[in-house]
Amino acid sequence: MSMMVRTIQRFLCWVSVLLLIFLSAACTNREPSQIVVERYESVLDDGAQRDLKDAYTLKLVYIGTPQLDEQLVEREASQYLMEKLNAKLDIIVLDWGSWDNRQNIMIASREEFDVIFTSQWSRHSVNVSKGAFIPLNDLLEQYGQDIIASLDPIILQSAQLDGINYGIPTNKEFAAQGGIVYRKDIAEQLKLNMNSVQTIMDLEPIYAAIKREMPQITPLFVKHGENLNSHYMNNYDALGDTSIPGYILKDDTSTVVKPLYEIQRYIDNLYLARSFYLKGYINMDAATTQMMVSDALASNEYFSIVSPIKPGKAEELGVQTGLAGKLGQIAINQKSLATSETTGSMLAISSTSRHPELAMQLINLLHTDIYLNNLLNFGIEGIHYEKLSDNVITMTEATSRYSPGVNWMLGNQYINYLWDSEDPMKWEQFKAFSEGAVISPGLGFVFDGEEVKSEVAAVVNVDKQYLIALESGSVDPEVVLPEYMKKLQIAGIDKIIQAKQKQFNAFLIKNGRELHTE
Amino acid sequence: MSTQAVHVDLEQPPRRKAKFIRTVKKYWMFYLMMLPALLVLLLNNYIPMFGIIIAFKNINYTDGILGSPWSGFSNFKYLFMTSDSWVITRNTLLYNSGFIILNLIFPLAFAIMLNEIKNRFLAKMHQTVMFLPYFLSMIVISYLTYAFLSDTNGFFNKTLLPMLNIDPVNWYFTKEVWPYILSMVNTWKSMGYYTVIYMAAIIGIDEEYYEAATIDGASKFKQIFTITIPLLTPIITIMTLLQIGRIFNADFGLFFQVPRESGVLFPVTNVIDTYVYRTFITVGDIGLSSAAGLIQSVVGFTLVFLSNWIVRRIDSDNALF
Repeated sequence: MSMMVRTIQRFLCWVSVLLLIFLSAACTNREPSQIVVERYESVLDDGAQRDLKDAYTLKLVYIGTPQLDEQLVEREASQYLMEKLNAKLDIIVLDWGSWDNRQNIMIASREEFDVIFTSQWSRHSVNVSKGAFIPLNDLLEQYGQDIIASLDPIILQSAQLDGINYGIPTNKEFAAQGGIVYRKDIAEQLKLNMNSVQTIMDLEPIYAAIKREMPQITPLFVKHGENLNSHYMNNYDALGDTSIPGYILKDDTSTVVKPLYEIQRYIDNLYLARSFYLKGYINMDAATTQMMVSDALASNEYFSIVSPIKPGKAEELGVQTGLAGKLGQIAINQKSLATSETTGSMLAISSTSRHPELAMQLINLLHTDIYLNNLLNFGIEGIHYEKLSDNVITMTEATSRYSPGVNWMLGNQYINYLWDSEDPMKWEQFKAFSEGAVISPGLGFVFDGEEVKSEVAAVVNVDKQYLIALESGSVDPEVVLPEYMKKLQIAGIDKIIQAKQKQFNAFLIKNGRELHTE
Repeated sequence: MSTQAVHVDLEQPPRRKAKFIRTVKKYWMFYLMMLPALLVLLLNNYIPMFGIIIAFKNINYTDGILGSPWSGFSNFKYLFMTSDSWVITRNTLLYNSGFIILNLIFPLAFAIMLNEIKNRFLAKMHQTVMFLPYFLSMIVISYLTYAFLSDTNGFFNKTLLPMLNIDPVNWYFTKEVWPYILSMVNTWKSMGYYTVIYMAAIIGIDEEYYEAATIDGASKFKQIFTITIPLLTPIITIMTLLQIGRIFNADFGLFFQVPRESGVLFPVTNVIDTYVYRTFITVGDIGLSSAAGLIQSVVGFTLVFLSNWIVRRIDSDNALF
């Protein structure tokens, strides 16, 4: 008996020790953020806190890094929206790494939310065919007049699926271009002539010099989806979801849908990547790394990354990575415009939303309301930034507590404030950038993969096995490419491409465009 | 004798019922204690079985689960379309069979050895240290493995191989070694858990058997093979049967996290679970993943019955039911 009592005593003793440890850990974690919240509480207008409780809460879901001061901004936004829409705001930020996963689960489990970020590269069309989003045409007519007035009608129209808008594109630059972002400081130190770089091939002497002069720096960081063969580097147009094979070239007139391995520049790039890899220009763990390209830059171990290019891209990345002023950018292909750009960033309304009309009004405000848009993008004035003039802002010590960096997802970039480190002409450059882009023959078309669902599921798995190993140069294309092609054919790639071609031809005929089969 | 047996049989239904009520009355407290577990089982395992119909439907969210159109067996098609279906089935079955054997031999050996350690403190310490990896998340284990195998900074490539004057190996591209690596990681992780189970069973064996054997002059090894292992057969059978039931369900964390998504390794690391996960994440269709889940369950269920049947034929005392 006494033995048992002793055991129990000892057990209780352990439990209390553990509890103490947990409690103290929890306390130390809480404190700092609590202090900041309290410190800035006084900034908020207490008078406006009236019936916050019973109002409907609009849930806004987007991808990003969760921010420390999210609650503060939510509260501020809720008070503003109470006046405008009689609703509150709840921001739900899903991490980049888990976005695919959690988006699928939120939608499949019919979780209630109102506005969600969506995009062609994020299975917009699949989600539409599953009934995850509601049609927006009528709502747009009724509550979105400001969007109709400010957004280019061509953009709105080319984001449609069968004449229906399921997502409202963000008003931003629309052309796409690929290139590299590199360490300007290192290039200057080694006196490299970066102006000589016109194509991917021209990078060879630059990288050779880096390798020779600074062996501890890897010249190029690549990973899955961000490498020399990325679609934005080569103007590949997937005609919808990029995980479904079958491409045309945006800068070509041909309307023949081909698998990537029948496109010459794809093959050329595979061999180039292989030679880069063998010479040590590419990170050895390219095929397995999960690191984001911005983190790679910030690590100081790499000279350059491949990246979609737009005016001010290097400065934006500089602010994000703590390398402000040390980055440069070079575009290496022709600017282009395709469905992937017009539908590259949209806001949709979930079919689980209880108040779609409020959700539409929120999207409308994000497109037109300077205060709300900048509140969600930059935080609270006087805390997260200070105003220098009407639309130029400067950093404060609390800036890092709220800088989600998702301006291109939320409404209208042209009403964003500018950091004082950015080019004051950024928006003019954005507008100019959108002009003069070559227009893909597939603009406005989105492939519906439902009929070849099984084949897509099979191909996706083959791609996971071979694609990144090949595209990063980690394996020899001479040996592996034929093996990859054979597997794709067994998985039914030809059937997918035929289906895509058939739908595409029908689209071209319906819209009175020409078929080019040469 | 025989008439009596018939008599009993005829009487049985009403008497069995009465007996059941009597048993419940007598042991009501135990039934009460069992109730929460039964409820969880019902809520968690039986009610969701309704979701099986998702595997036969082309789900869309506007019509809901019941309203969505039926699609027959088309959701199952992708599983059998490529040569991958053979690879993933083979990998799942071979790895799990291997794991069952390894999870029997090593823990059993260690349980017997730990039991023979006379210093209780040392025995306990060994046991605890062995148990520790069982509680580690697969993400952590994946990074531990990476710390050994990383191309540039790994322990093998940076320290061990240069010391032996061997060229660095690109571990995440060398598929030949992965069956061994994965088996090792799995054994290392789960060994402590199974060891504890077998140790508990060994402690339950009556000391008198050993005393008698010692008097008869049996050596330690003789004792192990004629007393310990035969007396452990029931628990060994149960543990093995339970694992056979899950032979179609691979340890997702092990096969997904530890090889770090390296495509080159897929021929030896792709199992049904990872295949289905990759499909769902890229294609986002719950019908396809439900189809695969259903196949796994049906095959697992059949296998448990089959192996139990075999065990019963050999020795009915050791069968589960």
